Amino acid sequence: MPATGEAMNGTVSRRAVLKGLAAAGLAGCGDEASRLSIPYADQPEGITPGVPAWYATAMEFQGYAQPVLAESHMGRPTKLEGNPDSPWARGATDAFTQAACAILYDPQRSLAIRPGDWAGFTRVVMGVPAGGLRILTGTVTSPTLARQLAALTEAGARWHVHEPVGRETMMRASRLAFGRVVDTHLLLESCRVVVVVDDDLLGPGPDQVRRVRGWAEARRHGQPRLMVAEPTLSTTGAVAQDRLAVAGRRLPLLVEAIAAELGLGARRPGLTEAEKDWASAAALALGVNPGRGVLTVGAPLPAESLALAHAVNQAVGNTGRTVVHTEPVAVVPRDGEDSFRALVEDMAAGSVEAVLILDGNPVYTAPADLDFRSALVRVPLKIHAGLFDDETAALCDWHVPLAHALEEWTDLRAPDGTATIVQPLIDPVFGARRRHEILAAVMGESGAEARRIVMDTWRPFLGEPFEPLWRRVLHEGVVPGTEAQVARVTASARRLASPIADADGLELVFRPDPTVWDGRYAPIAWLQELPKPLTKLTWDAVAAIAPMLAARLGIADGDVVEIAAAGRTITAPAWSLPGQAGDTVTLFLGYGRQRVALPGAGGYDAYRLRLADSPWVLGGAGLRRTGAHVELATTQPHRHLHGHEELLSPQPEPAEPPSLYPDWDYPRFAWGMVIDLDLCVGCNACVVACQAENNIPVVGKSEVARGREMHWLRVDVYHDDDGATHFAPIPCMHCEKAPCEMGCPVNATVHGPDGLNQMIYNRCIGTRTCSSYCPYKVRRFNFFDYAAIQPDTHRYLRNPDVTVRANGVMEKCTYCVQRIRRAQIEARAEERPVADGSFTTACAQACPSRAIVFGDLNDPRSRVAALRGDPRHFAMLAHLGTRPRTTYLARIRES
Amino acid sequence: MAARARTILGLGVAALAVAGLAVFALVFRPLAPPEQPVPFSHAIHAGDLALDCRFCHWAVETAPHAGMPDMETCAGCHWPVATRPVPERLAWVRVAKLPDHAYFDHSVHVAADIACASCHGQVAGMERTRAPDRPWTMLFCLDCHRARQTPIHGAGRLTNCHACHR
Repeated sequence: MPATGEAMNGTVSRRAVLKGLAAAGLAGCGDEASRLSIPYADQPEGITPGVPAWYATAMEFQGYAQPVLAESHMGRPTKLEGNPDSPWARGATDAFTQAACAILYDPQRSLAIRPGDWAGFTRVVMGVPAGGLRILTGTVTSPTLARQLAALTEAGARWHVHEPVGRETMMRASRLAFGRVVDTHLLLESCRVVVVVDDDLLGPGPDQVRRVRGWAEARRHGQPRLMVAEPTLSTTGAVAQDRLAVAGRRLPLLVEAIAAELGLGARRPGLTEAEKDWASAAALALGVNPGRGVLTVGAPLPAESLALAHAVNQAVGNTGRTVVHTEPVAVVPRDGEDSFRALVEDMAAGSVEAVLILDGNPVYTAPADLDFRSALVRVPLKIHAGLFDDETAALCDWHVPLAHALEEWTDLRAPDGTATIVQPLIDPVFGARRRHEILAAVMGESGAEARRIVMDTWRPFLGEPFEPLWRRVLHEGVVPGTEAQVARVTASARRLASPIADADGLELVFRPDPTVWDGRYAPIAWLQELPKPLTKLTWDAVAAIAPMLAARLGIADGDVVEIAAAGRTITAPAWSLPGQAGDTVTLFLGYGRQRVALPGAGGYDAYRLRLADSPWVLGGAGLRRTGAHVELATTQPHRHLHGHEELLSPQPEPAEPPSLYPDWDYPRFAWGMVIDLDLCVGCNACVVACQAENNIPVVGKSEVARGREMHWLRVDVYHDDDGATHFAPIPCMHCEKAPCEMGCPVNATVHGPDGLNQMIYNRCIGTRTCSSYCPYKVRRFNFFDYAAIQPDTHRYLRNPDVTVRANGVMEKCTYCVQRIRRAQIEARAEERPVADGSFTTACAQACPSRAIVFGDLNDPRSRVAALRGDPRHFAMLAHLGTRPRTTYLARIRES
Repeated sequence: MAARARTILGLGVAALAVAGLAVFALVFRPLAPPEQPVPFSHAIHAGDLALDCRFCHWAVETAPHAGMPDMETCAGCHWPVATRPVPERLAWVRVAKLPDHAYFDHSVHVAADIACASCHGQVAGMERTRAPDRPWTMLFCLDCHRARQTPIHGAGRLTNCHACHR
């Protein structure tokens, strides 16, 4: 349950219920507990109180592995870091993975199987004839799950897949181009040019970490050109050098124009001058960089356009060099792209006796025209297994709480195919069941243990001696030799003409929400309060429209509009977004949940306008004002750089203002940070990593609207006069001449001997003078006892090495001082120097592009010291004379 | 009237003084050892038997916490393996506790050759374990941190706030 400002305002109070739950299920640790010291009766091996243990495992995102090392304090998972041994993750994570521990302890997770108990459930499922059983899952990469599904299919059951942000278009395109389904991997690191047609390569998604790293590597070693044509601003568009806003329905013409310039097919008429110029430039860039470029086309376009892109990549020699096709990592269901539709049709026809929905919420996420709800209620036995008692669970006869990935024994494959054995760090917290045990029960093996089932899958692959090999792959978190095999396929050169939709009215484009995705993360307060990368909105979804359209219709940000398409209407708050195509309205999936919603979460249900045949673009829409207005909570009200360009670029040698204060002396360490603005894609992984590391509370929408969000690290977004978008992560600058230190009347913020600007909570009396003196606005004040309004179960989530701040206290980024102290203490005990790179801050560790570098400025060989000598190096607001030790490398602008 | 007021004032001052003394005595008295689930004697174990502190407080060199011995450690000496009962968890009452906002790390202090007794007192002579005679105030820590600070540490390295608070 949400820790929200709503709770404090007295409108909602569900804490009493939760307290009861916590008291029943989880022992408290109040004063009595801290008075006592209770050692183990029999000390388990490998646990040292105060020293975290680390385990290699993986989180799941849309069926794909996100390999991690998980930190466990006395059996409590508290923090995840990317697994450095995984060739896919290389130590980085995305924002969703950073929030996984918060999901594990989420108090809204369902607590009990219903309506009966596990024994009752196994009796019921064993009575189902396999021939009448249907199983609905999301994307499946798990070899064990695939093995069980194959066994069930063998016995007569049928398996279907539904993924709201699915890969159907890619699969269809692959069949068109190659005659079968293959995966396409982009080696961005070897690209000189990347041409993107409506494909958010660098945005959130199961493969984000690898792609952002590849892009960053390419940027480090050269000046690759990124050209993007898209209807609505995406992360990829934001970092592009050439970006063109084009209505979604016109994009296939652009792909065809590029193909025609490269000698594939004919150009169709109807392109505007700007579109022609962009397509010619893109084709030229691809043509002069054979084998060093990529043309990628996103799922919103028709499969024909994607298939044409495959042919283009092959024609210019990219295939096999920057574009690699492999055997599919995800298992392809029998009905392929039509898997879900086949299920709905059979259910509606009454030919399904029982359906098991394993980890999904199709009642909420199914396209409106399929009418999944009516089809589902016709099924005599409906079983749902999921983390939450959601919209789908409500319609089902049975609901089984499903184990979180940190409680699971399973296996998953990363998007590059490498498998990770998922091992539990904790027994299921809320009496949840592991997925393989549920499927085993369906197969009549109700006593089977998930660990054994997973071991059985790997026994033939690992060979003998099994036990040591198994222990090794568990320990490493990667199974060697499991990467996807390269597929030798040739794109057919036949003419692929895409259907072009009619052009009446407005066009709707659908996008997964950047922080709650398809709605699966909507119950997670951390992700609700995480500012969306391009709007900095929290707790809400908006309908994004072009500023010109907003001006024409007289719509202000937050005005509620009614959007009609295909005979259905929804109402949504409007928001003008720079870089939006003129007649395009962007709708974000994931909001408007009917169950397990958080109080304060706004938004609308975009699925109600979504059609199965065109899930991403829908023409002929209407939009009108309703006269209503809602308040939206954004963390950055001003996003235009106009007149403040000096913020993000080096200035001609600013005369450093003189200071009355003596200079500091740093005899040992001088910690510092450099952030490369050329590599940042605004993905937010650092922000959530900081939240997880530093016990940062969620405050709720109304508090965010008052400017009281608590994130120590924010990522600012700016649009400049040229239409370009810039991201700038802003932690505490740890200034040499820190105004806050001079302002504090009680010396609660002081300068340390290693350069840290220290915030001492137990001295702080809350005058907030420091915050008003801070030119970077990085200080956060506890206006209420925010820590106390976090869910009770989130106590177990807290980092024991970081103070939980009280009401009335100022707080801010500490450069993760707990990690610095640990590194120093370990080095001291082992009588060695603190090596550069032996530890880093939470933000730097999570960052997929490695844009954040932390280290000792006193060490001339440290990476951070080297970056300070880069010609792009600058200090933000240097003319103020604060002499910050968090500094930046400016973005490279091609002209 | 004025005399009466003076008397009342005088009595009030006296009462305050007495109360103040009482509070002072309560705060700074040597704390009586609390009742423990087992009448464990450090005097026997650390004194008479001269067991090294690290025999039971096993994590003191490697972890922030010194580590409390599990019951198997006790049973290792007290019970022959064949007749060993299933051990029970014991809830010891802490005698030594720092406030939550102070982050103390045993390992680094041991590495700096600080003897256990310099903070914990003469535990080896305690029949019943009690709090150290000198209370753990910030000044108690600072006395040592100021004295041991050398130029190698850098000015203020041991006395800066983030050394203990974060």
